[in-house]
Amino acid sequence: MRRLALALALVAASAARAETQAPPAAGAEEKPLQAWEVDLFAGYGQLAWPTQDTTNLGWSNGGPGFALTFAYRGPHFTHPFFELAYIPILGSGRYVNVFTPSGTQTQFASNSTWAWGLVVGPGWDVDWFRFRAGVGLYDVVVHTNVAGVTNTVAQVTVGFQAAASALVWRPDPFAVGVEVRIVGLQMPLTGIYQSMWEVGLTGRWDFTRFR
Amino acid sequence: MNSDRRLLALALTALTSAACVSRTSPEPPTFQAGGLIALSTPPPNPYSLKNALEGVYDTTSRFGSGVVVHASQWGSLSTEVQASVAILAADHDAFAIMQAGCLSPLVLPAITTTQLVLEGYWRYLDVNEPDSSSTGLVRLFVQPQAVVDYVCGAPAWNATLPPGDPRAPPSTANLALVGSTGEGPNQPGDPLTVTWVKARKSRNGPAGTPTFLVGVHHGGCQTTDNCGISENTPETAILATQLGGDYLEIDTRLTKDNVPVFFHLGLNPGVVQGVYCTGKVEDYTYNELLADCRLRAGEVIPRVVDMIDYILARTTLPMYLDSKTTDVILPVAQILTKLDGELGLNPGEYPDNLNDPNNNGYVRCNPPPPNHPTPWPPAGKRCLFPGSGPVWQRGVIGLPDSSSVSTYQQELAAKQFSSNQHCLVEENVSDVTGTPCVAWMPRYTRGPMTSDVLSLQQGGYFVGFWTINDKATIDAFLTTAVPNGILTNYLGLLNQRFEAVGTAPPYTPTRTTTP
Repeated sequence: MRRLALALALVAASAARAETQAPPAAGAEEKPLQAWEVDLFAGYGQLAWPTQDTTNLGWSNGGPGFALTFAYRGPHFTHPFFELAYIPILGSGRYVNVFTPSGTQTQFASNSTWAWGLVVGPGWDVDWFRFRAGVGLYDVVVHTNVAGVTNTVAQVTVGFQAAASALVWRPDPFAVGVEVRIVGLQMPLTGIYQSMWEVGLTGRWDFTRFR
Repeated sequence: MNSDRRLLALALTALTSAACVSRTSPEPPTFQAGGLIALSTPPPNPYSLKNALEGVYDTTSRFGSGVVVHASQWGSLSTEVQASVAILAADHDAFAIMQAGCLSPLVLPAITTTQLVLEGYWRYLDVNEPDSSSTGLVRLFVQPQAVVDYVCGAPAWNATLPPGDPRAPPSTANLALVGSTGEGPNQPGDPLTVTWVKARKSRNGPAGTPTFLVGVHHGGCQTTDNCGISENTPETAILATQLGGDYLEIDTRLTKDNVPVFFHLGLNPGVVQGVYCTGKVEDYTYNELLADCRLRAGEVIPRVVDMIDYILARTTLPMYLDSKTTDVILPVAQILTKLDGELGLNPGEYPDNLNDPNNNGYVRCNPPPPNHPTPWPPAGKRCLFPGSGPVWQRGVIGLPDSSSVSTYQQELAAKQFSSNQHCLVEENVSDVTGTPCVAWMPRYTRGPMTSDVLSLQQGGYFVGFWTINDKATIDAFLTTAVPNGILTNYLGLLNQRFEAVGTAPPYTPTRTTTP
């Protein structure tokens, strides 16, 4: 928790410093360009931590992840963003011992878990690199199938996200590049529970620009 | 700009490292190759340690003064009854748990006479992430030789004999435990002498039965205190016995497919592990919990039937089964009924499990009940741990709020419980007498409520408080409320404080032992 508080404080400090730095004024009669942008991310991701118990594990994988982001780029170094994200966490199949009317039996269980997130936070553009850190509410869904019986459970939790992008191709007003993300989910009032990584392609479109 | 980038990099680093906080529970340290205990033999009578060592002692290091040395017995008749010795202290909420072994010169030529060695580990519970400064190994030798000979030369005990050692205790003159403690897994090297001061206070009332009991909150150790055992598990009953607990408070819930289990609150990472283990126990079937959830120290979430079975066979502890939802009350009561093989022994008791050949419940074997038929135990019945009360005395349904009281009263009126089912109320005093239940256990933050406590105690009810973990508050309640019990996470602390300032209430809680 202390590390998370430190992270948030550092992000806030970064934003505050940017606010206090005056934009270059000399000879700048022209106002700086501002833009509303929409971003799309599509990639692959899966659970990074905690490590899985591999005992009797049959298969395990992550899945496709997506994100739709709106951001406002103003004259400041820091830009705010709002995001709707789908985060794959894990899918796996394993043999488990369960109780049956005839006693304990080994059965196959296939489970998957994913999360929908609403995330806000600051971002920073440094040349053709982009960094973002956010905090959000995540609806974590667990779908289980144990011995043929299915069940789906959902729980809302707090989460944190960090992303780094390299926008390598920038045909104005678009930009396309690669992106790496990490997401940490935290259950209410307790420590970090799960963290995921994602890697994929990202695209940016400045759908509104003004000065 | 550069400083902004540094801050950003630091923030990302902190986020990443925060996402990697370990969640596995550490194990207590152990001696390599089993230590000297591996070369020793257990005392012939597991009860002789209680006669010889139980008392209040001073220590030269680590544990402070006025500590309690407590000898306990646990195990099962199908394996063996085992003995432990614990040091229970207020300083750092410390404890040490040790096994006892008799070392013979025939096995260890370096010694000339038989030695009684105590080996185990110590722990400071005021540090909940144990490291080498808050846990380590301990090895002590009992002195003088007369006490060693008393314990190691005791006549062998077996399950046909009454629990206990009928011999008079040995002299306490010069009684001491001498040895050393260590840090972490390192061999003990810091000298420690534990010197006898006085006998423990009596906890008995005028009727000669205990009127003050140390209550165990969720088991001998909270999961968050990292004792190597998760709370609300069968193994915590053993730990609680070793640490001087007298009754257990454990939490019952009902799974989606109506299986009663022991679990406290939500499936959060402080107490469980498993990617697919989120939400509430009530969201999942038991097989799903079994497949996808492990408690923090690796255990499965226990079914009530399995865990009560374990506790009945291996300890003498009564259980206060705290009903976390109203729908778990009846299923838990039905489990208790089925496990009580003595129901039907006395006139008016129902159902008649005693004469039901399909019932394999538990009966008292050692000692047997006074009015038992012969042969005893009846065919198919199982034996409770030696010295145990009957099942109906040991399983009390906890009613934490008015809705659970109401549910209990409805089921009682519909004759859904066995005739001997007991209950405990946490909130309203009037519900204790009105339901009726046998005990009242309010939250301590309501204050000592001395007149209510006294009134109920005079009526033969048990009165305890939950859950007190600090020395000053424990002392205040022991001296002002004079309750029959206090629930705590720190059993060593409560045991030590009772010896320091406590008084056994003069009123015997007769209703807890009355059918």
